[in-house]
Amino acid sequence: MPETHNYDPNTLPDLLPLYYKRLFPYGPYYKWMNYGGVPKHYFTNREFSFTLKDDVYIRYQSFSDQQDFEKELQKKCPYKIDIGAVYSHRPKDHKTVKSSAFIAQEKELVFDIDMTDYDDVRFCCSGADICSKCWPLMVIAVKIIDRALRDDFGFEHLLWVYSGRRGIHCWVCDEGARSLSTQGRSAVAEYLQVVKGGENLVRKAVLPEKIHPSIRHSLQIIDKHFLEYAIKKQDLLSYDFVGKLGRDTASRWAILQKRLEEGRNMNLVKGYTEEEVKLQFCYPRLDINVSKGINHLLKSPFCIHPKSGKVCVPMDPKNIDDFDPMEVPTISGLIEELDTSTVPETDTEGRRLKDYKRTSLKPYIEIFESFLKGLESSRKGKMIEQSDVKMEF
Amino acid sequence: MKHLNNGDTWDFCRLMIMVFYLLPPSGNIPYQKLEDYALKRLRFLLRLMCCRNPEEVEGTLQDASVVHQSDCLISGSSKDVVSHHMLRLALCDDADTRTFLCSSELALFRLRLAEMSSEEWEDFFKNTENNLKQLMKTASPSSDSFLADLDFLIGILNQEFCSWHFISKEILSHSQYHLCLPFHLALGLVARREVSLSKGLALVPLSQISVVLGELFQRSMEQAVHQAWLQRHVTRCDPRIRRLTAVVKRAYKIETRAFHHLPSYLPRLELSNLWSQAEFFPPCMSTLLSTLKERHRLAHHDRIQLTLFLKDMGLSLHESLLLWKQEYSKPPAPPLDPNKRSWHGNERRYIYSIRHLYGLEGGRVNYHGHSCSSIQGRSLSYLECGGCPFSLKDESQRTQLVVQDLGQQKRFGMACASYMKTRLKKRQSSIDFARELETALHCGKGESILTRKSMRSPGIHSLESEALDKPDAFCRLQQPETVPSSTYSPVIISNEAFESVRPHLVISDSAGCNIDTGCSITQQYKKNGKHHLRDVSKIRSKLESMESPCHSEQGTLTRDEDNTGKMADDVRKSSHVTDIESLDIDIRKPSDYYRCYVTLLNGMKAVQ
Repeated sequence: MPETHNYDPNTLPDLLPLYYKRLFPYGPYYKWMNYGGVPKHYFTNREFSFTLKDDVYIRYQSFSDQQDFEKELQKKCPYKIDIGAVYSHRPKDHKTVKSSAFIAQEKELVFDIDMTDYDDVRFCCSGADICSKCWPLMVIAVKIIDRALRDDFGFEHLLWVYSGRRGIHCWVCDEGARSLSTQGRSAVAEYLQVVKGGENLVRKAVLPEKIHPSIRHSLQIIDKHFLEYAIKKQDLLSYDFVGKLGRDTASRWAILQKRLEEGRNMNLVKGYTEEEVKLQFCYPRLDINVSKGINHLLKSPFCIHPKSGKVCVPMDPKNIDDFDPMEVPTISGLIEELDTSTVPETDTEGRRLKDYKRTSLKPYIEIFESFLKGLESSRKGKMIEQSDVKMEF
Repeated sequence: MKHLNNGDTWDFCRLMIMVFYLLPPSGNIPYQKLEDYALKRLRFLLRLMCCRNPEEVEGTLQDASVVHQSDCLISGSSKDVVSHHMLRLALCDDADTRTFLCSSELALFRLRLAEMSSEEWEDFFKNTENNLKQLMKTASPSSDSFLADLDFLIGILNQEFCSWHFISKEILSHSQYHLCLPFHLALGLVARREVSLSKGLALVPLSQISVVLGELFQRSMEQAVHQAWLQRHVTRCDPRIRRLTAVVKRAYKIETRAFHHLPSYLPRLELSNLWSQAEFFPPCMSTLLSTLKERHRLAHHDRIQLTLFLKDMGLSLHESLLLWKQEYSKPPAPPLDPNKRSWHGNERRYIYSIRHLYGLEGGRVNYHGHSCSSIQGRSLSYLECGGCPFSLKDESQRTQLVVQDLGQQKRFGMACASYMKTRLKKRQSSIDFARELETALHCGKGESILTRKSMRSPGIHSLESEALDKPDAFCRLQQPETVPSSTYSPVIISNEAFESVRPHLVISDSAGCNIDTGCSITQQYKKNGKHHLRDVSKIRSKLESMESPCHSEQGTLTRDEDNTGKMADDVRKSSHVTDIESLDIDIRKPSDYYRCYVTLLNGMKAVQ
């Protein structure tokens, strides 16, 4: 049972070197970033940025191979690692290249969902806090976006990650997604965006006369969670808020639904009020600007969140209902586990087990590995296709 | 075709073959004609881009002066192709001109597509297909080149339907046919959720094919312009091309200069007068500024929007840095986290970001303030309060601003102008009232009301201390034209008398209130704190010589004459303002609002 409550941010400088030495999954991580070595310079031309102690920020880091990457991480022990784009040249040499020639060429399509963007519709916490009462919003977000990206856009290789405190990220790693233009990324993000309008706008979800199929699917997903979320968890129609109508949120919601129905029958109510309310309270709120830019840097999986100490771990979208952010291992917990672990150091075949597989990081690594398997089989499939075309065997 | 029989309008029926400009022109042509066609096309494109809604486009096309110059715009004609390619060569350098060329040519392309008959569609497809066959033989397009996609589209159309004739007819009727296209060919439709998607394929109705073609054209333009840029060294070996490039660029700069810069005679914005001048900012910017004042923080894109606006208004980098430092050093108002996004600890990042906007870091781009249309198009998220208040769809917000919604997206500028007029009218009535009061006071008590910075004694109520309490109020003073700049009478008015007058006087902030105020025109055009009577007379004589609205003969005037002309024009417009409602105020970007508002205000003060 990981000790998740006793992380002290002050110990981070001492714990990080251990983490980077024994727990960071270099092998699988490199497998991901390298994409099977196709094209050849994908890894060497990838930009990483590090945030070091005292908020020192260094960009345009790049590495020649897994060993180089490992060495640098262990040497610098960054507090935060960001992944950027694959450039036309090695980022660490960017000053030797003419600025107009040094261009960002490809990057995964990414999405960032931050709980603070929901502060106007959640009432259990605010700011950086999250709890079991508002976590369903992230569950809904994963389900809706995962469905849309797979079914509507045909993307297959999605890596969902918990950012360590109050948000989640999605990395779309299909070849087509990585080479998507800025306009393409913008279009996908806008397709997924429903809740719009800043502080000064009350009604943020506006549905046209004909509801688009993706919105219909999203509403179905929301419906599975809505009553539990709105009534039991958030108590959206609480007494303070609404006054003397009905007994509790559940009954008030039922009354509202009935009134809306009556209003529609009498032609006094137009449009999709109930649906818009559900969307405004539950539909995923993405930061479009994160998704648009090819050169936008996003936090890497498997780094540590300095404030919570939690590892930025992958999530399995198929089992997202079972994911509990409170159970995510912290760096201090993991280091402790290493010392006290009862898991044998070698597996049944006598091979030495990696340390990360001997701690509570194991299930998350396994999710990552199955994601990698998917990528690899897709690559193999494509190569077979290509060699069929060329008639080479 | 609606224009068929009208010889005076631009005859769309004279369109030959609609083109993608896939192939370059060839042949011989005198240089002068080349330049002539290029300039005509440029001017047309500039005018086209000024239009904010379909009605204005109609108006432009019906304009006789446009029609007479339009022979190089007949689609597919050699003049059309030549002028298009020349503009590519000339405008491929800066980001500004590149963006302009791509968006204006796209607008023209869409315009043409919208008016095609089915025969013209047929010809278009045939022509494109042939050109493509030729090109695909020689070129090996990279995977994201638009050529591959265009080829794919033509291929699919050929595959699914029996003839171009059939397709063309279907496009113009409300066809039931749909195309299954990869989603990246229909990005606009995807973004607006106007098509359904399945496994990466979009179901595009045949009638929407012009949207798909438009996007392909846009990509073709971007690629073409990039190509032209890559080969500029080669093309510009020829001195005639160099000359053409220079001529076209100059023409472009002249036409667009006014858009980007505030007239130099308006007071430069400084930290010291920022909060008082804020009264004259358009609602989109004053919201941001007041939020900043209240919370001491702004969301990222709101901060960019405001910083660029202030830069446009003349705020120097140094002052801008001071402003943000001042605000971000204060603790933010709840619910914001006081440990986040403070100046301390993030100083380098904020400084870099502001310097970047001023063109001193990174790509060194000289960013301009956002135009109204880009502000209106902003997609806001929680806690952002930027964007155009007139474009918000919320009923309650709009009525609060006391402006009727004028209907469409592009009329928000007119809504903004309407809002300005309302404020002007309110001001006018209070100014009139203040003027009457002052006259009464002056005549009655034989005193004049002036302020002097050092005047501070008990029992004497100085307007200045009043101003210290309310730094965003304004001052209205007596006629110092008769008063030499170095002397003025002290404040002599009892507290009681002052109290009775105070609510109706508009009081200025002491820092902005310089000694020589009075005739407001001279205040506006004052330099270095000194009262230049010469300038006043210059303006006067210019006014007298002007009988009709000043057409800026740009390019021939010196900068100084140009400014005086503008000053005079503004003064003339404003000094005869009695009927605010009838004014035609054209707001394209936030600084237009400020410029108009301030000059009109002074004009109103000048009205006797």
